[in-house]
Amino acid sequence: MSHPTTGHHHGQTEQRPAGIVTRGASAGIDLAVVIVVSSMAYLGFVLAKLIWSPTNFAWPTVPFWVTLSFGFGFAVVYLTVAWVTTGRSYGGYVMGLRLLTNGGRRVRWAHAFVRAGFCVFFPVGLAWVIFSPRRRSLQDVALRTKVVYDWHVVTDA
Amino acid sequence: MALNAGLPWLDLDAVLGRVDLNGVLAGVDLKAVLGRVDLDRVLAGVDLNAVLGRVDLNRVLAAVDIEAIVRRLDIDEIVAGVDIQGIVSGLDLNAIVARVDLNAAVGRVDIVSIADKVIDGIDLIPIAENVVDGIDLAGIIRDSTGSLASEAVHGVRVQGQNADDAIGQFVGRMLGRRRQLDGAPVGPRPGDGVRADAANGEPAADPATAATAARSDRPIVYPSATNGRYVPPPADRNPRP
Repeated sequence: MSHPTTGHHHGQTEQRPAGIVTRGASAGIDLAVVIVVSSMAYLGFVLAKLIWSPTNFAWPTVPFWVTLSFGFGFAVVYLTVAWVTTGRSYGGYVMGLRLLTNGGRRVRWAHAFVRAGFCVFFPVGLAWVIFSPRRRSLQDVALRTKVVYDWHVVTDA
Repeated sequence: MALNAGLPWLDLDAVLGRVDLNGVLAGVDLKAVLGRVDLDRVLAGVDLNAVLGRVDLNRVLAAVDIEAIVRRLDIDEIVAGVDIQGIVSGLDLNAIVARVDLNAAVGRVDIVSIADKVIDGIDLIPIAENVVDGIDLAGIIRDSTGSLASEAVHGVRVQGQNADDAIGQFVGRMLGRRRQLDGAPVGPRPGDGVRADAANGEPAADPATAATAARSDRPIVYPSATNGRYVPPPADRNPRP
């Protein structure tokens, strides 16, 4: 099942590949989202613990590997779902970016999951955008994707 | 004398009993009798003051049903006959008002209690609801915040794109790369589709994906795309239905 991005309600958009600044900013916003969500999860856990046994409450100590695992796991799931459903994470939405396959389609689940893992565990691959003539990160080159500007909304005729 | 001598024997009751008084009275012409009476002379002899002095007026008035009389009066007709305009025009209202001590009058008025009563009598909630319904508050908030947010996001995107182009130009110059005038990378023009991948030395598109694209769902082609250059957005991005 493919998801062409020519949404009729979106009109036509620019399709130029995005550069390092917008993609870096998008990644930074996504990182902030992951940190915020992880913090909220921790606070939720604390609150649940407080409600469960208010008399014996003490701030829980979460091992570092748990925090890291949760953050990485959430990031992978978040990016996968975002790319498959809308083609853009929140950072991509703010910066007006969209992830497409080289064929101009929205990525599928397995494709998005592998790319999300690649991005989360090897973020340095984004730096290749600076040198790539077509502004591709290592993830894009390896997984045949591209990230394009997709924000110039033209009203439907 | 002989009459006087005969009277004691006369049974007057019997005589009168045999007189037909009705017949006698029927024969009397009362009008002619009254016409011959000089009433003026009679009345001149009457001491009316003495008569009225003996009349108990209080008793007479107590017997009068004044309410019945008032009920029979047509007040509307009486008032209609009154020339109110004439009366009012004859009044010197300025002089009257000048004699009124308005400060004292206002000082005696309990304005606070009157205002409280007025406010108590007004159901403010429906009035407020009507006013709020009349104002498209949601629309105003949506427009203002929406436009603010969209302007801010728009600015960030434009700045990001300019920065991308600046870095692209810089790196391209450093590497001696052929580039477009606006600093955009050498790459497929919008609508070039998948074929451009091989031409630029990049890995070719996934054959299955490309084949699918060529077969049915067209690759996305944007004939009026602006190729990354900033084009001012339309004035009304979200036209209302």
